[in-house]
Amino acid sequence: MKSFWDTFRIEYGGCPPDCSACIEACVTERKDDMWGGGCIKPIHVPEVNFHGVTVCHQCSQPACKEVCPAGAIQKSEIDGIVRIEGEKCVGCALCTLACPYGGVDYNADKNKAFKCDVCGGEPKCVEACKYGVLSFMKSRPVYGALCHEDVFVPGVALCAGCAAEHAIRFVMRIIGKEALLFTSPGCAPLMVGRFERVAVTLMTNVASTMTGVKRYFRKMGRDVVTVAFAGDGATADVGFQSLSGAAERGENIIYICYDNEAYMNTGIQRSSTTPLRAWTNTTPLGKSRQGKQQPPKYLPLIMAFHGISYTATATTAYLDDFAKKIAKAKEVKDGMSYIHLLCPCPTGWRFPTASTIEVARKAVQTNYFPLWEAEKGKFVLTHQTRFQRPIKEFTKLMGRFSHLTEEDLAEVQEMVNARFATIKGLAEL
Amino acid sequence: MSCKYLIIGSSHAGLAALDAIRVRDSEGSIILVSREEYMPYSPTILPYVVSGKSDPEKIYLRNEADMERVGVEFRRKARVVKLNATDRNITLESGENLGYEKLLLATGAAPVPPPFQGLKDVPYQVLRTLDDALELRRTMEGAHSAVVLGAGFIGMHAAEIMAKAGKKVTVVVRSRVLRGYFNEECSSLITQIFSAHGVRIITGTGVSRVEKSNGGCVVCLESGEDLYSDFLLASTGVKPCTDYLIGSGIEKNEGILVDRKMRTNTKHIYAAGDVAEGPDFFTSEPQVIPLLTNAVAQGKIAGANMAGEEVEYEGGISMNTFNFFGNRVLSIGLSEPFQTGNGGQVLEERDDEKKRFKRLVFQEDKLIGARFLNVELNPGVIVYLIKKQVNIGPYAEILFQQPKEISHWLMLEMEKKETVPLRNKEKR
Repeated sequence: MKSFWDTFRIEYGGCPPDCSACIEACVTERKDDMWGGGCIKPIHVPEVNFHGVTVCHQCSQPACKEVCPAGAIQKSEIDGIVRIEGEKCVGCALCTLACPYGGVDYNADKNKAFKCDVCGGEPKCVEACKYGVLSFMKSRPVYGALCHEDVFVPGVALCAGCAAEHAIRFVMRIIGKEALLFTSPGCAPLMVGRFERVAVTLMTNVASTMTGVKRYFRKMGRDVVTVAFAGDGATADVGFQSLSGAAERGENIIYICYDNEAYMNTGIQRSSTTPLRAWTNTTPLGKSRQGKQQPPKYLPLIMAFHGISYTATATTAYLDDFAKKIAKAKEVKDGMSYIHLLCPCPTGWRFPTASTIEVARKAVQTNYFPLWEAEKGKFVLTHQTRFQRPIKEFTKLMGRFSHLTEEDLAEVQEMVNARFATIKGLAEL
Repeated sequence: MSCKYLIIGSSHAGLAALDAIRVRDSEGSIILVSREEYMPYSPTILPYVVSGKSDPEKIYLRNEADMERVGVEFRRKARVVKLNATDRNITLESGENLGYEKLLLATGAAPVPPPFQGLKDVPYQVLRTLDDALELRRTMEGAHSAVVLGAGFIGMHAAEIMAKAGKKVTVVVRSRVLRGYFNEECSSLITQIFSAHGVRIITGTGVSRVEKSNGGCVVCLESGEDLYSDFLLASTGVKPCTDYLIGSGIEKNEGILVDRKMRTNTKHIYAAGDVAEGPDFFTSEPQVIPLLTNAVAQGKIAGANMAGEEVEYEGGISMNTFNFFGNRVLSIGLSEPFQTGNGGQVLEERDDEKKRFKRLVFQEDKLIGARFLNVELNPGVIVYLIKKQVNIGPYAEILFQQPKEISHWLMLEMEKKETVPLRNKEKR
């Protein structure tokens, strides 16, 4: 089966207030269709000045198809279009109840359901739209139109299952390859060496170096995007003073910290973001002490309280959320953007290489690593789990916590709850 | 004989689970067991088989080629009589044992015989299986009049079909029409529409006994009236089919109790659909919601978890749509706020002339339920607003006034928040 098909692209809320050209074209096209017509829906809400349009998404797993008791709805494996077989449709209208997007309609006169079939590949509504709100994209350019090309295609020299590799690849696809990338000694240089616009600084001076470069270009009359991709050691420990200084000065840079919660590249030594009770080579399991004795430094809040323009937390398990935050950070022109990215490390955390995403997801679902953002001091939780999982569901996935006793778990749970309560309190202000 | 995945029941929950497993595991052996002699079909289609709108030959959701293509062994006429959880196998009526690694119980529900005196001597019809539907169709052909006992969706749908076929139909219900879904106001409008189409609806009275009379039967009501008709259709609700579970140790209440992963209390055994009693969306309390939409949702969750992924069910929401005599009625979610006066708000409007009714139920700023009669909209969008707990707040009033457009707009706004503005327009 093909992985993607031709599709509509709709400019959100881009319609003029009094236009109905698309629906007229749709009704005309399907007037001889005995099962009904008028599939595209102009949505006009003058109260909030919204004028837009919506139509069937031709879902990959169509909810309408799943609930049809007559087996009348099928998704074509050839062109991806979801069609209703009019002869079989009994008009029970369960499909209209199942579709969350209003993509199927019920015609009471004919007692049948009907929906968009993209006019077989040449949609008449798109031809009728004079305002560029509707377009129809052939499958090949869709992905390219939404993302930039992958600058790391030839391959990288990181461990299997590395979340940081996935993350930097993703960041560059959204930021674009015109950006200047900065990084410090750690895992990232092993990867970004292939990218031509990269500077590897010392661990102490990532933020100050990029400040200088940014200002130089500004003096030359060019506004360049500067992005740092640095580990927790270079961010929270060694390079913190230069970062804190740049934040306080309001430098217009994007700083992404990939936090794998220890100095992984040099052989798993504790950092200030290593979690409470976690094993590392410098917080070993001894007779009197097991794992790290101190709670981790919660850097994202410290950065937010510098009063910078944009702060966010993200993980690779919630890529849509991450992408939105990268796009927002890129838009900031009046100060610093800081994204704190949780990067599960199979090597240092001791879990199978295939579990990276699951570990990151559990970190969010247990509220160990809540996803939030702060724009100019306004805090918002961007992903709230409906049911908070016990911290054990996160810790049991990895070896660095395998020694935890019930008391240790209770202690970690208490810390997680207290920190989440703080964030939640800020978001509710 | 044994297999990796064993699915008992081949209706919506079983089929949804089958698809969910195959998406994740294309190799593992699957046996799908059905007690019927037919290919899988939906009980929801049966009223249309009775009315003649659906050709009974064309209602099957899968054919043999489909089963072969996805690599599933489909066993028909294989009723399960016993589940041996400790030995990890089931016993079929034929005496054969089928072993499993993961088992899904999707055995559905069966009609509850109404507790009326004399009913065991009087032949009556139910409508749950294809055989029932075919028999009802045959019975209907020679009959002039019918009495429908109970006024749920199946009963009312059957009443409409029989009235359209020119039969004299009487519906008897102890309380009111579609009581489980609609309040007095809306229910009485629906009653009026049925009455206008010649269906007699007797509400507020029970049946004291039924008797045989020459060629037909007599239904004696508690009110003292005697109703003569050619046949009886009993549609007084369904209950989960769990008779084969005796001695299995599977915990059940009304249905088989399941958690958010559709797991029963016994390892490797899952349940989904009308037979399962899973968490409710609003209260998280266990509840049986015997509806197609829930069967599909639960089947998908069960299948995914059986195949090793960890997915959780968001909870069941009662919802239904019913079209009758050119009218359309919709019921979604709760009919009352959790506690009135405590953040609860209800907007309601009834138009007797146009036979229109709408009711929106809010808790704080969120929609928790809706009822519509003859209001044009896309109900799935309303379900979306409830499921996503969209903050409706100041737009409650305009949502009530123009439910179709405003619900779409709120849905689009919510979707926009979840989609990604990846690239600037001019650079495209």
